[in-house]
Amino acid sequence: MHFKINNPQVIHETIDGEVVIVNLDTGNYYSLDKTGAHIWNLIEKNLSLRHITEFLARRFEGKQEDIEKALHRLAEELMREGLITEDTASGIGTGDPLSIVEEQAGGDNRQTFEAPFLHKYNDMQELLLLDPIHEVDETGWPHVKRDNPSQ
Amino acid sequence: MSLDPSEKPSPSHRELAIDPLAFFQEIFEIFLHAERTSGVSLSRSYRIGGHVVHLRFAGSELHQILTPALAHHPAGGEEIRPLTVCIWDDISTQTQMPPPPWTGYAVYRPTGDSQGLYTNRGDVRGFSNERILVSYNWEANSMTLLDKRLNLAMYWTHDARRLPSYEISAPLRTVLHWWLNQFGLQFVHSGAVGNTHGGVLLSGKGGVGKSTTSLACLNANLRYVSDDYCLITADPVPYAYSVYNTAKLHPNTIRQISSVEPALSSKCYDDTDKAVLFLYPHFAEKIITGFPIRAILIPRITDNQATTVTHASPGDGLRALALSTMSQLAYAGQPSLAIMQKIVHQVPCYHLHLGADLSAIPHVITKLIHEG
Repeated sequence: MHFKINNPQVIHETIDGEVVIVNLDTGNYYSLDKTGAHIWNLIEKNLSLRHITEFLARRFEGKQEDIEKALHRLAEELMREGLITEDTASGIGTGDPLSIVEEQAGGDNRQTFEAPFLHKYNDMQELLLLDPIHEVDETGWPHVKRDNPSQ
Repeated sequence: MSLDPSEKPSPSHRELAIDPLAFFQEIFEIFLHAERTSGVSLSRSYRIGGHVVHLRFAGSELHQILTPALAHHPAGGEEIRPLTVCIWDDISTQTQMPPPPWTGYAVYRPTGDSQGLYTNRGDVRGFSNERILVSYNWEANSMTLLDKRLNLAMYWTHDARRLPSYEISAPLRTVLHWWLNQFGLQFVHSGAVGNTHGGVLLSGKGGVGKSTTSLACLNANLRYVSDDYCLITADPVPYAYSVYNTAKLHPNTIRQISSVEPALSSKCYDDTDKAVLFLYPHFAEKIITGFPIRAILIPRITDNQATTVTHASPGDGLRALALSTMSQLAYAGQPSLAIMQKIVHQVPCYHLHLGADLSAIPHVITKLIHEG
């Protein structure tokens, strides 16, 4: 199974190992670091869940079963939040998946696998609100709905 | 995504299966009509962020309202492809804007659910295209259009006298954001103070202390780029440019920084009861065109007496800079975020814990600039 990032309404940048993600549809924003940041970057490269699991198993110390469970849980959460969708045109990744896995997983210094955690923030939601409450006047143009008509 | 004009039918409206370019051309004709009927055509030209912007007004009302915030910029001069913005309102020119052609449109997602047209930041979802951008500020009853191919834009509002104060203190934000973005310049919701050697951005959402910090620096050896909005670029080095000479402050804070009172506009209070200050011409020597960015500061008001700084992560810096910016600029997306990421990657980020002693703030910032 492949996924793709829900562009253009989902925008993201990676800085210093942390991925900052904004969902412009909902106004929610998110942060992923460590394992989660790796997974996000591999989803962006259109790797399948199988190849991402393979990458994680090479990169981190941990039970294959635990890694798979954590990956599936995160993928489900990212889908639920509207950040990714299933890519039905699978297999059109940006490179050879195995070489990406090899390239990024390199090195013998394997760290212990930590289940990824999606940090979610909604304090900007009001500012990005869609379809704000408004009235349409006789000219056809919407305007602020005011509780006090004298305002 | 598809557009379905049959959704929410509104029989009182024109049936306009009109595309954005045809709509733009229709609106331009209305502007020309407004110029003729008002009998007044005024123009101003500025160089903003190194690029020439011509403002062309039908009637004098909006000329008086929108130009003071930009008055500190030098005259525009020559440029091969300057931006021209046509500006008018219905009431003072005695014209009438027809209903929006997108009434009844909705954006459909692949999952089948529909979304509305408007966002708080001004998107008119589903109507703009690669060439024509359209934004509607439903709170200000103002519309902005840009034809990217012709470098021609329009700013219309129904009644100039009813514009909210933020449209007066920071006019034409949307069109400047769209047009200057093509030159790698990003409009950001940040304060900025510094000197010719460099300066800092003050980033974060409203109420964190950006204005207080920016104006506290007027009494010291630091100069002013903005308290709210400025332009930044990442290439060739991180740099901030002035856009507006205005600032907004709560009356209580004005009492604390009483030296700014001569810049106070008697007419202009916003809905949060902040007063608008026009720093030009009274504080002209304190305004600086721009400076290299040495750091990004994330202010926070504390109960302490002293102002202190602590390191912030690049992620904190990007969130502070990007999120309130993205919330305010129509259609801001991945390219805007990429410019901000590039800048955060190049300069250090700090939390600025603001103390009650405002006179000490400039010293803390000056030290950061020189150590930067």
